[in-house]
Amino acid sequence: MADGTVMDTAVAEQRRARVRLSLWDRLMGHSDIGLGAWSALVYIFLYMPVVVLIVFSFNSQKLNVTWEGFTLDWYVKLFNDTAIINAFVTSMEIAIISTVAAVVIGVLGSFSLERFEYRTKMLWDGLNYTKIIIAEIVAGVSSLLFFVQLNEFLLEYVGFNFWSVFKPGFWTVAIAHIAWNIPFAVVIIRARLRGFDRQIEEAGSDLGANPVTVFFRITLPVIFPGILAASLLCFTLSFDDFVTTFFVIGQNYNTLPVQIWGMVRMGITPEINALSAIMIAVSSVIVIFLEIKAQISKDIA
Amino acid sequence: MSEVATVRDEGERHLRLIHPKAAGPLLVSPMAFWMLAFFLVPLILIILYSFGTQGVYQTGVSLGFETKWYEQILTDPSTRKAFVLTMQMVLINTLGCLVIGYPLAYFISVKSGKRKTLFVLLIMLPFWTSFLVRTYAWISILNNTEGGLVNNWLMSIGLIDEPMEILYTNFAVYLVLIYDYLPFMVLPLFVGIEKIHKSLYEASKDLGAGKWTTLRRVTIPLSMPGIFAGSMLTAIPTTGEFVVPQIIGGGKVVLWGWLIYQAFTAGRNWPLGAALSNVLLLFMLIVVALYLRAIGNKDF
Repeated sequence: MADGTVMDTAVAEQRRARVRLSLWDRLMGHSDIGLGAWSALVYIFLYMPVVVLIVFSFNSQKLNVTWEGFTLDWYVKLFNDTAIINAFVTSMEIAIISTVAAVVIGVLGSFSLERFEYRTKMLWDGLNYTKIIIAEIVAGVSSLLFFVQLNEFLLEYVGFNFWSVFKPGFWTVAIAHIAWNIPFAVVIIRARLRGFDRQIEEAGSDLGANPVTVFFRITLPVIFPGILAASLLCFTLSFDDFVTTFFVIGQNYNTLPVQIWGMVRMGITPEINALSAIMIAVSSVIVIFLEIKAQISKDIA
Repeated sequence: MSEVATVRDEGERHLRLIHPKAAGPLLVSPMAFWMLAFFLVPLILIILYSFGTQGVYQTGVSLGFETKWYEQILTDPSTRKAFVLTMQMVLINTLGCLVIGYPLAYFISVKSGKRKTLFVLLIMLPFWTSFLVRTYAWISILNNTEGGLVNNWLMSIGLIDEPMEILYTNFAVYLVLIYDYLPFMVLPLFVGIEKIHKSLYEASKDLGAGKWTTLRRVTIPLSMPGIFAGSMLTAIPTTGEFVVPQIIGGGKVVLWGWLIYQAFTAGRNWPLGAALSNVLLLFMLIVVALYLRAIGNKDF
């Protein structure tokens, strides 16, 4: 009898537990619709500011607040505004330099980290990961301190004025951006190297190709998607970087983000909206192009 | 052991032009130089100079052994307030991104079907324009006048009669912060959820679990590495954030990042700025240590 009661309570409890569970589970029954709706809302959230700035780039009112009428004035003004154009050109130059340098250094580094064993490996790995997760402002102000101290040191002990040789601002930003980009390039390229079928390389060298030929004719083409992805990321990071750039750029140069930061207090003019709209258009075209290309190569495979 | 040996052998085969033992270190040397010279050395410098004194004309720093900057940080009530507000911002931003981003990451990974890459690209696409401009665009949306898009809309549907105060509030700051950091959360979450084998969902279903049970006992526990990685990538940069509170919050609230900014610009107190940023460095070390412990414990 006693056993039976215990059993009964246990069964009842189990049943109750099942009912409680299934209440939540039943609530989740039609979650697919909810999930889709939620995702759609988040995408709207992500694109709302983008749509707003594109719309306002055609707005005849200057204050960016209400819609007044259609105009292309801001696009015309943009191409005549030397301050913005110069900042844009500087940003492009620095982004290209830092991307190429970081990707070349990154390819060599990834190769070494992925394919060889040696004692200091842990250190370089650790430095890369630390750099990725560190708050950017810390990296920015420490670079500022470093460049100022380096200049003082060189002036005092070598009699060499760092700033007079390296255009102050431009190269300090480029150097800092390369350091900022390298770890990201390494992470992406290493992932590609890891999924690499080494037998194709062996086949190449068995067929008599020397290591340099193997590298340029086999390894490089195989890891190329990784290199491309790394380049895109590095370019974006550098082109859009504000915090590090702000601290190391000095007085004589402006990148686009630094220029915009200067304009924020006065109110950004719709010229900046126009420039952003052009940038979005260009990057969308690139993304769509890459997507189509990837789709085609997938279809062929 | 043998695996290491094979890796080494193959590496040697690959680069017979130079001494096999030298190849690895030689290839890594440009990266090693760059990261040492332009990352590690500056980091050591900033730790050293936080114990220094202000340089001549208040710019720069001189070495020394002063602890007064740290004392100032610890005793100054306004700094303490900034610390509390910053931590609050970090917490709200990280949790907000997680709660908003998780269903989206799950949707992309499990439900989006063939269009998966496209959905991932769509998350990254807006981030190819200057984040300053995107942040600034929010002013037009949240504006406190009738012209502000949200106010305009709320008034047109008759929910309010007068424009509401939205811009320059804490709510606006959190909203735009979440907007700016969401991709840093969603992408690691996506990778984490993507790694879960789809057959596990089926197994869970076959064993009688409903959707809620599967989510709670299969999906979330198995995507923990993604949750941790995303939270870290969101939380750590937020500690130094000053752009969004300045543009969207109107600079009403003083945060840690803004204290650092001020110390290096108008404040002209570099050693104080160095000490302030070392506090962030310490915070980062603690978070990473906790992260590594979590990974170690759970045996992911």
